[in-house]
Amino acid sequence: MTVRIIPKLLVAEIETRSGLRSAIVRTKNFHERTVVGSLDSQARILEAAYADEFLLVFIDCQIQKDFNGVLREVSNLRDKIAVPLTIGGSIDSVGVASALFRAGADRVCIGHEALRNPSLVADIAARYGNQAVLASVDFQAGRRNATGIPIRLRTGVTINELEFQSLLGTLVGNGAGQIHLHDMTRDGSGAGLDIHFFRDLALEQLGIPVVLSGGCGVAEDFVQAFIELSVSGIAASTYFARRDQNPIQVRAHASNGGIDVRPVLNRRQRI
Amino acid sequence: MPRRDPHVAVCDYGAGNLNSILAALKRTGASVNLCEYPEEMPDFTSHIVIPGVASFGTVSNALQESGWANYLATAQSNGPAILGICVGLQFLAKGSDEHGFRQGLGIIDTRVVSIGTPQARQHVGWDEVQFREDTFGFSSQEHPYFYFDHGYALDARGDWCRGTSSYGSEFCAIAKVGRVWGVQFHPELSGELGHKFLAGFIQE
Repeated sequence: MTVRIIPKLLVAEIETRSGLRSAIVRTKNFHERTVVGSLDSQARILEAAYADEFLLVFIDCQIQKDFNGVLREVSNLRDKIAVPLTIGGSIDSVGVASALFRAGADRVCIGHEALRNPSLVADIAARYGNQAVLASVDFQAGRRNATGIPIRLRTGVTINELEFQSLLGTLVGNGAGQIHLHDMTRDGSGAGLDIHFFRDLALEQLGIPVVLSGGCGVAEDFVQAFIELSVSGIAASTYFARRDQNPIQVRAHASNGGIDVRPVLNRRQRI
Repeated sequence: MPRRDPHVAVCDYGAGNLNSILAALKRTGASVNLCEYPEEMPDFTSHIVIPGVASFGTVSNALQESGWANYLATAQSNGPAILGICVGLQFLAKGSDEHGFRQGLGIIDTRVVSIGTPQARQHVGWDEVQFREDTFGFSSQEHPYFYFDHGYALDARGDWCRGTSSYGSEFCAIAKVGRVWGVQFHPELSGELGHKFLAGFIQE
């Protein structure tokens, strides 16, 4: 089974002289933003560079504010690219998910709405199958103290590792087909994934594929995490937003590290 | 009568990744339309696609109610060629254990079962397909990679199985019974090779 290298495309609303416009941004510590380019051009460049799939997140609640605009953007993108699209960003009902599937999503990413409304994951999974739901948890891990490692969730609640593990188990039980963990502390830092923290969570016991993100700075960070954590995928936004990095390079590093990756087509196989 | 350009009717069962499959079919040069009921198919329909991305129960309920199940089960050998994708393939089998047993069309003589192991139940990502015979320009000598996303599959034992992949154990990746095809992977999400597969199917 091959691992997945997943560019995360963060779609933000940016102010221009002619009004609000949609653009891909990268973030640091979840807040500081830098514009990277347009969704179409970024996605097409990354598809040509063998991105295994995309995680597309509308980070300014556009799904709530301008859903028709979001559906148009998804549909336009889908006409141009032929790799899997997971779409997220404040999806709070089966109806919203359904409209996204019709417009071009192949899977939906459910974030803290899954924590607020426990039946949301179950309801989408019942209709679209567990494989169509990626449950996503954004967190900040603190320093270990007497009660363990304090882990702050985006809902504002702080829990320890055992509670965190049990939360992930609940998401799996509700029907999530995959789990995505995003480390907000390392977001955009380039410091590498927090291998020790993730290892202690015993993610392999969840029984479903896990995708990690937050911190990849060099290709070796992907390789190390694939080897030491045996996760199914690693997502990154800042890393792929830099012009000198792309999924083909990561693939080559991973392959050299003995990791099974989707091979690049040779000339004879191409159409 | 002169042969018309291919026209694909895509079953709209109220779920599924519809625009993904529509966009991919259009890229092959075919004309396409979504059909909630078989009566909505134009006379010149040459191919039918049952898309993926739904639970077995959703597909089973909707296709029974809309009359599609009856149409597909009695499809004529001189009628349109049919392709089921992912759960669309699974619905061709006798039934599935996903979220409790549900009945399928029974075109393929087997049942859909969960795959992998208790430690790894979802097969997600690009994986190798071993073709059992030359198909749509793919030879049985090469092992191309396609995109999979499923927790259930058909076994690979019958002679209807024309290609395999494996996750824990071997399962059916490509099935064929007469003019009815099914693929467990998603050709519409599998880049250039997926395009080649779909382009091959619409010439069928």
